[in-house]
Formats: sequence, C-alpha cells, structure tokens
Amino acid sequence: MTAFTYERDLDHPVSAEVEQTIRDVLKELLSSQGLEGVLVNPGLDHDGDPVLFVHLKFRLVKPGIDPEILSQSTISVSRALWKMGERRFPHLRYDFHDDQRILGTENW
Amino acid sequence: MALSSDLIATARQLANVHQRRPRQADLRRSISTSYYALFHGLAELTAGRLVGSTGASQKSAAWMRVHRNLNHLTAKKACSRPELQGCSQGLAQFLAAFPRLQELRHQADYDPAARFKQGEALSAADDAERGLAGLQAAPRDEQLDFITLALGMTRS
Repeated sequence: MTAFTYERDLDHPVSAEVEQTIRDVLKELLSSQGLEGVLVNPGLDHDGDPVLFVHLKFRLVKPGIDPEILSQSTISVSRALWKMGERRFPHLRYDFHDDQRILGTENW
Repeated sequence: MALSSDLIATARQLANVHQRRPRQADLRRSISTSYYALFHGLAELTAGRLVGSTGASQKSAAWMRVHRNLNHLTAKKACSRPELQGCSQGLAQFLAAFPRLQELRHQADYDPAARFKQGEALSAADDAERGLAGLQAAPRDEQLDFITLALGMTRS
C-alpha cells in the first residue's frame, strides 16, 4: 500500500484485468525510461471521487528521462481503461531515483 | 497567457533552487505552482473565448466574472466527461494533466507525510507546460465544448 492510500479506500477493488492493462501499457511506454515496478491501488482522491493510484518505481537512467514520453503515460493508460469500461482516473505517481535528471530541464 | 507561463517558469526555478539536496518546501511549492499554472491558463482561455481576448475585454467586469467563476472541482470532473473521449491529442494532454496535478497539489499543500523528489517536481512543470500548449492548440470547437463543461454547463 502506498503512503497516499488509506484503508477506507479499499472498498473499490481493482480487477486483475484492469491492473494487467495498466502494467502492459506502462511497460511498453516506459521500460526505456527506467520503469522497474508498478503498484496499482484503488482509492479516493481529495474530493472523495474513486480513482486509481498508480505508483511507478524507476531506476536511475542516464543521461536522463525523456519528459515527452513520460507525459504520454497518463493519456495512454486513460485511453486503455476507457476502452474496457474503467472510468476511474489513473493518478500516476513517479518514484524516481534521487539523482534522476529530466532531459531538457537542466538550464533552469 | 502571461501569468500561466510565468508560473511554469517559477515552478521550474523552485524545483532547481538546490540542485544537490532539494528542500521539500521548494518541491512542494513547485508542484503547487505547476497546478496553478494550469488552472490560471484554463481560466484565461475560458474568459478569452467567452468574453474576448482584447485588452479592453480583459479589463471588463464580465471577463473577470468568467475568470473567477472557474471552480477546481467542476473543472476536474469535466476532464473525465464522456463527451470528451476521442478528443484531439492537444486537449487530451490537458485533460490528463489537470486532474493529476490537482491531486499532486493537494498532497503537496496538505499532506505532511508526503515526500517529493526533484524529478517529480520537474516532470509536473513539464506536464503543466504541455497541457497548456495542448489546450491552446486544440480546435476551437473542442475548446468551447470543454470550457463550458468546466464551468458546470452540463445541460444540453
């Protein structure tokens, strides 16, 4: 369970099919960016709406992670979930290595 | 969209204040600022489309009322409306970024146990920038469809 999921949220289970779809989409998209683990938990967002909290664990990647590919991940997961009738929004939380660089952000 | 663009720059600066050991306070403010860049960008576009985008329009009471009428919850729910499925890639970028950053912003602003890393703050700023660019690039009819839903106009 991730730090941002509480016991009260476990009343809304995630089907194995939904969880596998999320893993498949993210693996295809983000394996090249260092993705090494995905954890899916049902929950409620800050307004109390049912959502899916998706925790993505990354290993350190050099020279850095491509933010353009990263930005596609929520869109790709959402589209895949809508196709299978899953309406909960997938909240992707990126757990990068402490020293991870994001390409294109070095000059700020 | 001057304010929203400036907020993205601020978010990046905050994420990079301490390169080696970023402070949680800076990362939290960075993430919160990235969300508000999206929110203000949406408010600016909404007022611009419904009232006008000339200098005179932006000084009118009507422009200000529309700008201030945008509500965080209603706008978030609009992002998941079935009418918007199958929209352009540009609008899809915004619809994905807005709820994500709103939730992150709540964690950053209110959850004392939450911990953030620099990469996450920088990717949030990038998401905000891409989301805003996508919203601006979306076809006008899609923009109008979305902004009316974001204002809570769901009857048809």
